[in-house]
Parts: sequence; structure tokens; C-alpha cells
Amino acid sequence: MGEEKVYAIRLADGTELTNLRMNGNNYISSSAVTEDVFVDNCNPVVISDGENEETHDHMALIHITKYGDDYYFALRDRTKEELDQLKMKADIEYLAMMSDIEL
Amino acid sequence: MGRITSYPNATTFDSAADVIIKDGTNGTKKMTIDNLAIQTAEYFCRTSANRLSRRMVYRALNLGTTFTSDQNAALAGSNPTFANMYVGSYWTINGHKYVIADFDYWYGKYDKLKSAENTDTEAENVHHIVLIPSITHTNQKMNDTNTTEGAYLGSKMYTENMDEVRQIIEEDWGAHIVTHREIFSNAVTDGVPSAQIWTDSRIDLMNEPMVYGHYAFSPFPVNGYNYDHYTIDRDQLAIFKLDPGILRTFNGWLRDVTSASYFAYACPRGYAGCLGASSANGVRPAFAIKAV
Repeated sequence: MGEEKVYAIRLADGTELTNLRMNGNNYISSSAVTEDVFVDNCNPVVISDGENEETHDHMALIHITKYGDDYYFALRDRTKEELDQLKMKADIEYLAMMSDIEL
Repeated sequence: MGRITSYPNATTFDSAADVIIKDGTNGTKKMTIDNLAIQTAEYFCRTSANRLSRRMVYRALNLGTTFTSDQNAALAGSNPTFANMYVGSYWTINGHKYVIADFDYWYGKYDKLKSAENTDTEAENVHHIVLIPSITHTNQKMNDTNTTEGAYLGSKMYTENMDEVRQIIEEDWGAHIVTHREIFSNAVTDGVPSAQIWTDSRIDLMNEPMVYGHYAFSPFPVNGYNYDHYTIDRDQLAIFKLDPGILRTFNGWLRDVTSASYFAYACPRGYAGCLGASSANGVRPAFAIKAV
């Protein structure tokens, strides 16, 4: 078996989650990880495996689950359909605001 | 007596009492057609090289009420013979009937991800027999409400409701049970499994491919993912191929998420189905045994 990779994730506001291991598509943290860290903070997300960095725009948190002493969490890229819907929602809210219409 | 070649030709066996002549080091003897059929299969499969031919021979042979030392020897080592064991053969241990479903199903399948959880991949290297209970020992819910949140790994079935069945099987088979690695989903997004991890497995629910040979209700991967489909359990267990009728009385949960509220379910009348997670249905897991 090769040496296990250690991952780091940098969120949009610069928050860094470090010393992460990986199982499947779950990142494993021995420190507490909470959902509020990810709210409106996943565009972009920079993921490093110690050798390479990947930048992901518009990610979303899938889940955080505690197994034993460790916190497992997973992220995903939002789909084009989701992004289209988010844009449409934002456009509607903007038009409503400019037209002084309460939605 | 004339030469055997001078006897009239026969092209069929007419009754179970028919015999053929066997000649060899133990003299000349007769053998019934029943024994001929059994011995021909066993003779072909008897070598380690041919042992997996047993996966394609169905024989509902009663293997007894204990796992004997001879049976243990037939599983032992790097070149086992699996002697006298076939798909459909069964033991009745402590009153619980277990049927052979396949041989070496998890052999050579392993956790390739280099994670801290990647420790002992026993079934990768240990020859084994896959068993399933012949009946449902208990009915249980996947979750208390109709939700698949957390998928199989996060379900109440996995964390709690299977304990009774697991305990029965552990007591019946003990150290013979093989620990193998599985990759199970642990999160669901919009009704589709969206995350998974490798974990140790000893006794767990089957998935749709193990039973049907294909996915039925588990959603086709959309936007690149349905993490239930990342699985080493990609093949149908031999018993479901050789005896599709076993599903007529199956009545068991399968671990695949089929929507935000339903899990897959093998219905007792033989059709593929799915049900709300809060309904109580049969628990019929698969597990593997090895020599000790």
C-alpha cells in the first residue's frame, strides 16, 4: 500500500480544513466540522492532495456524519441545472426588488 | 460372458435402478445412475483448478447440522477443492438453514483506495463460500420514517435493526465468517446516493445486482453519480441465476436507495420492487465463510 494522502480544503472565505484523510468520496477530519462553515462559502473551493490543487466553483455540502471520533463529510459540484435555477431565482428576486414587488 | 461391446446398445437410462459397470483398482462393480451423475459432477469439479465449476452446478445437498472438519479442510489453503459442496447445498445450524449462494464471490475484489480504513481485505485473499439464510428470520424497517437519508450505511437497518440477525449468524458460524471490504453509500441527495466509504463487512444486505443480475429500481446515474453503483458486488450470485424461483419466497430488503423515501425490495411473489423505508420487511443478508 502506498502512503496515504493528506488533503486540505480552502473555502471561499479563506477558511482552511487541513489534515484530512479520504475514504471513498468522504473527507475525514479528526477535528469537529460543522455545516455552517460551508454555508455560502463553497464558491470556489480549492482542494489539495499535497501534490496537486483543484479549484471547484459552486460546490455544495452533501453531508457531515460523525463515525466514532472522526467527522466524515463530502462535497459535490452543483449541476448545470442547479446553477441555472440559482441564477433564475436570483434574477427573479432582483427584478422583484427593482419593481418593488413582494414575492 | 461375452465382451461388453457385444451387448445391445442403450441410449437412455430407464430407471433409478439402472446401473453401469465400473472397473478399476477396487475391482469390477456396478454403480447406479444417480451415483454416476453425482460422481461425474464431483469428479469434474474435484480439482482445485476446476473448483469454480461448482458455481454452475445446482445441487440441493444436505450438508448436515455442523460444519465438519472434512468440510473445513475442503475450504482450507490456497487451493481448496470445495469438495461435495454446490450451489443450493445447505447446512442447518442450530435450526437455521443456510444455503450456498456462491463460491469465492469476493475473492480478488479489494479496497484499492489508499485510505486509513484500508486495512484487512480478508476476502480478497481467502477462499470462501457465500451463504444466505433460507428464510427470513425477522422483519425490520430500514428507517423509522420514509426516508433514505444516510443511505444504507446511515440507515437504522444497518446501525441497529440488523443486530438480531447478525447475532444469530455470528452464533451459528463464529470464526468462520469472513470479513471483507465493501463500499457503502452514506449520503443521499435528491433521492440519489451521493457519497460512499469503504468499510468492513461481515453480514450485510445484498444489493440488486447480487439478486437480479442488474439494477431494477436503483436510479441510473445522473450527472455522473449514483454512489450505490460504485460497488464490488456487481455480479449476480450464482444461486439466483441457477434457481430464479428462490425469489418467489424471498421477501427481503436490498440495500439500494431507489428514491428519497424508498429502498429496493425483493418481493415474495418473485418480482423486483421497492418500498417505503418505514415498512417492516424481511432481513436476509449474505455473508461468507472460510476455513479456520
